[in-house]
Amino acid sequence: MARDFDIPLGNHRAIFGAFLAAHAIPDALDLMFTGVGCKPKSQRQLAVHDRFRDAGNKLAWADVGDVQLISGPAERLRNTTVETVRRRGNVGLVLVTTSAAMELTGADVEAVLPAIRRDIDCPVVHLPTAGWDGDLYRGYASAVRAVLGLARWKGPRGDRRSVNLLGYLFDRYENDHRANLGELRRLLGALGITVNVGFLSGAPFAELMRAPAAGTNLLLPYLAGEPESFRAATRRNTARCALPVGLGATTRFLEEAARAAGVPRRTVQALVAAERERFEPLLRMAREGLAGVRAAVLADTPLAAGLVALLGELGVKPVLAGLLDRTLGGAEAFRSALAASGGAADDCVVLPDPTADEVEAACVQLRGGRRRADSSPPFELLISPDLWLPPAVVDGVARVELGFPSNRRHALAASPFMGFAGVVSLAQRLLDGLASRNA
Amino acid sequence: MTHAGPPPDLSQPCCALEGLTQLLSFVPGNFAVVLHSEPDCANLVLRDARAVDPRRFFCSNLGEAQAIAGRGRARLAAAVRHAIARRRPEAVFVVGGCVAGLIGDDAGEIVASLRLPHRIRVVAVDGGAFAMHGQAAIVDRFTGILLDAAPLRARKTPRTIGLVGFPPDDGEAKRLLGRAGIAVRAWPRLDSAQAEWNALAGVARAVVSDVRLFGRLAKTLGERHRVPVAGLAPPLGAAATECWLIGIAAGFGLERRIAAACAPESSAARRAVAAFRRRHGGKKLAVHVGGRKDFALHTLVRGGLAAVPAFAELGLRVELLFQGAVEEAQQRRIEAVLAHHRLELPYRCLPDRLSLTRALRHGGFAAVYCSDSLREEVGSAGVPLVPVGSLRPGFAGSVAGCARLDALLR
Repeated sequence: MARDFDIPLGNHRAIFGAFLAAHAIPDALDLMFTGVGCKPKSQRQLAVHDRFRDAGNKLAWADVGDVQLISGPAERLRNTTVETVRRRGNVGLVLVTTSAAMELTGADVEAVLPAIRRDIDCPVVHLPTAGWDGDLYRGYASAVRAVLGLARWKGPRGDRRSVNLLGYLFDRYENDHRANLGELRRLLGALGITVNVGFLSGAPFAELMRAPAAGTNLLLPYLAGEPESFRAATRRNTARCALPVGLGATTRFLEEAARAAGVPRRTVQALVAAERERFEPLLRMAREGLAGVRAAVLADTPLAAGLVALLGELGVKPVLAGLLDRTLGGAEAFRSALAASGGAADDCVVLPDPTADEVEAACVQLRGGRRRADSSPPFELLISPDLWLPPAVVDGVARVELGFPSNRRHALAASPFMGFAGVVSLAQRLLDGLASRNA
Repeated sequence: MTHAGPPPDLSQPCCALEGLTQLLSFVPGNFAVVLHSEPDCANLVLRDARAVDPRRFFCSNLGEAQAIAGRGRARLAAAVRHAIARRRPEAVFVVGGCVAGLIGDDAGEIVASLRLPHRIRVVAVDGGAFAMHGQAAIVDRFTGILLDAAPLRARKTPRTIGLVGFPPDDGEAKRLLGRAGIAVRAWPRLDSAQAEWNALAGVARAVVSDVRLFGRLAKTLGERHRVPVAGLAPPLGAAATECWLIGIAAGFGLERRIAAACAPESSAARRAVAAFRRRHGGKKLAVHVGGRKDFALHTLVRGGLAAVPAFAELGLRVELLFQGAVEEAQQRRIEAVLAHHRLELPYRCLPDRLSLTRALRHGGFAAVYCSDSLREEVGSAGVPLVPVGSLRPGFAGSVAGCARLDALLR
């Protein structure tokens, strides 16, 4: 029970994930049917993380206080939504999210939606996102599923080699995600596969609604659920794919995509061979610089699995992996994704949904039981988002900032972390981190 | 002294739990904070690497089943005990959120019913968002609960003063008051260590920059610690600085001594002000209010208008631009705030930050005093910007301010 009251490192819930999804659709509006604090708390976190696109204008708040609670908050929701959409113009989609407190009031959001829909000319989707539900990833996935459900899938199917990339976690408009999507388009394009829509990818709502033009859906690990359910909902061939982080996982992603799109296996093999030949001299140099280095990773489960596999591919010894989600499968999914990419983490401590204290305790163990920061560090490199971490974890360690939030590191230049170009880019960042630590 | 009620406030409304989390995150001290809320309310806690060890924060992590079944009390009690066992704090702050309020969990009543060790001060505050507190109300609560957590018995030191809500002045006030025989024993800022707040309980007298903004703190100081509290406007400008020092000394009957002690600095500042007035007197200055939600004192003390008398002293004609709703209710609030601070100034309401550009472009302003975050909007209007909070206090600050504004207006 005691751990129940500690605050884990990854403690965002579904309401924040839905906001991330709204941010990833430039003309979407997240109408928060909540108390006043949920809005600034959310927008402040994204505003620092994404320097390329303003997060504040993505949110509107239903302006609910004590008086509105008593007099009928649902009516307030209707008025605020209609007023906001009319005032702003160019709103393609409204996501109505709700806090735990608002759900407890029993305000009937569904009942007021028809009236809102009558007054504005864009779709309105209700996402129940109480602050005790799921996690960021579940909230993001719910929003993606809801938006997918708005597309008209009954029409004719497109070419099998035209694919939708479903479940891409697009948390900012900077040149890390842009470069990721560019790299995936490049690699798939080399296989003769066209990416129809990245769901989500910074594409506006109307573009997302063109998803039915594709013949195949590629499902990334951030969308939980079986491919069959998506196949049934979209009437399109749907295949689950690895998150393409690291050499092994990128190869697997391409193989799975090719299989789903009906591209011969030998085409994939030829592409992978050519790519690896192109990048191998660079990676050899990286391995020389990184040989014998130990590293830790704090990331969501799919990304952590990709990064740990990548570390192994670069000759770095992964010693600790903290999984910053509650809904993406935990240690089992981590080990399974790692094994499928050809990686191993036999000596790597895996901490599902850890608190700062638990990460610290693991680091103290890795330091041989010594808590003092002047003892040898538990590892030389730490790949993690910008989180507060105890001195015993970070002192003497080079940090490579990756994931949400990345408040200090902003991607002005292309710096992918997916695909083969992502392997080289991450290798460069690890080397830079190590160099700064040793300076 | 009775608490005068919520301070008049034109700032954006905010959630008390969110505000108190932010403010407490940066206060060094051996305390724990327990949020009585659903887990998402705690998602700010680990997101700022500058925070002081956020492991001091705990959450009752209310789930739906617990909220509905009325098990919130038990969760909070267990969370408080856990926080005490884990951190061994001198004080515990318990902050209730929206859900706790809706299910009727009175944080104060619940913690009062716990048998906790006597050495630990436990302070509870209901902090949901539906009450739509302004930022000033949150600062009032924040400083109030810090004082609530101070030890009850503090030894009084004669001729000592505690100063609250005044910006730092590079040691000028300490030096001048010291010459008059008065020692500054506590001068906490919002992110000062808890020990600095505790020290207020041991001063002979205290002075706050706004008796309503620091109403709870003043009440606790007066009633619990027997420390007389006075309100004095911040020392911004030459005349205000002299009034401030004399006001402080008056509490000890040392007005003459302080007047003599500060005479050289006061004369220099008055000369600088006179020179500035000759050069720029009559120019029009826009003062923008309500553009930030940052819990910063310079946007909250005296309704965010604390710098206005300093500009008036310089002979500038001030017009106020309030960002926020333009409805009648807001106009009434503005009138009340102006009346409260005895200011008779022309003002306008701007519905959003984008309206600032137009107002500046057509208003004939020589400069605008506003948040630095509005640089883009101000830049488009081609009007020089004086950042809010950039006026330094004291006589030296007054001289430096004259030079800076002179350079800007020339």
